[in-house]
Amino acid sequence: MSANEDPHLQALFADHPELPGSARLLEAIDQGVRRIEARQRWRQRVLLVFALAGLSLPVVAMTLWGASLWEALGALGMKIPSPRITFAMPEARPWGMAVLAAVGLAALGTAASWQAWRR
Amino acid sequence: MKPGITPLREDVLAQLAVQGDRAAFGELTRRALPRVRGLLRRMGADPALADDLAQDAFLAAYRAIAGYRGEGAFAAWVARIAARLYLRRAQQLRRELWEALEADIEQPADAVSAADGMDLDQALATLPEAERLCVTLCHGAGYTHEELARELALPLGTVKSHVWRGTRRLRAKLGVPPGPGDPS
Repeated sequence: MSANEDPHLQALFADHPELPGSARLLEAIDQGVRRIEARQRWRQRVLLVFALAGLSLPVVAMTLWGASLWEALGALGMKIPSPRITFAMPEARPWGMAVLAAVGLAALGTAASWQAWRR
Repeated sequence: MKPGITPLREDVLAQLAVQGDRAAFGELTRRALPRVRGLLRRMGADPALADDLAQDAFLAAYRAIAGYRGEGAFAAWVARIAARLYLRRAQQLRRELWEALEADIEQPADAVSAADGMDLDQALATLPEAERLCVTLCHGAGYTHEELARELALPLGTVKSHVWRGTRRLRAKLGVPPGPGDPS
C-alpha cells in the first residue's frame, strides 16, 4: 500500500468543514468568470474583424488585378467583354494590389494563429 | 442561480460547463470550494492567501474548462490547479520551505501528543512544513510519490522520506494505527 492509499487518512483528508467567507468568495469567483466571458466576447469580435479583413482584402486585390488583366488583354487587341470594374488605382496598381493581398493574408494569419494560441 | 441546476450530477454539470454554461460552472464551484480552500490551508497557506489562490484556481479552471475530460472529480481537478499555484508561490517567496524540502533531514516537529485530542488540521499544523506539504499533497490531493517528485522537482527518494516521516508523525498524533505496509 502506498502512502496515499491509506483509507483511514484518506477519509480524514476527504472531510472538509465549511469555512467562513464562502459566499463572498463565490461572488468574487462569479465576477471573475463574468470578466473572463466579457474579454472572450471582445476577443471574438476582434477575431471576426481580422478574419473578415483577411478574407476580403485578397478578394479586392484579385478583383483589381483582374481589372488590369482585362485592360492588358484589351491593349493586345483581344476584345473580351469586360466585367466593367472601374477602380481607379493608376500607376500604383500592382503595388497596391500586392500590399492589399499581403495585409489581407497577414490579417488572416493573425486571426488563425490567435485562435490556435487560445486553444 | 439557474433553477434546476443544483440537483444535477457532477458529470452533467461538467458537460454543461464545458459547453459554456456559467450557472453549471457556478454550481460546480460551490461544491468544490470547501475542498480547495481546505487543501490550501492544510498545505500551509494562511486563510487570506488560501482564498486568493482558490479564486485564481477556479478562474484558471474556467479558462481551461474545455480541457476538462471529466475523468476525475471536478474538485480534485481544481485542487491540483490550486496546489500548483501554491507551490509556485511558495517557490518564489518561501525560500526556507524549499530548503527544507530539498534537505532530506528529519526536522523536529512541535511536541504535542495524541492525548490532546487533535483533529487533522491541528495535527498537520504541528508537522515540519516540508512534511506537512508532502503529506497533504499525497493524502489530500491524491498525488503519487512520482507525481509529487516531478511537481516539486525533487528526487523521488527525498519526496518519499518527507511523506513517510510526515505520515508516521501524523498517525502518531491522531492516534491512527499503522496500516499494512506502513513506514516503520
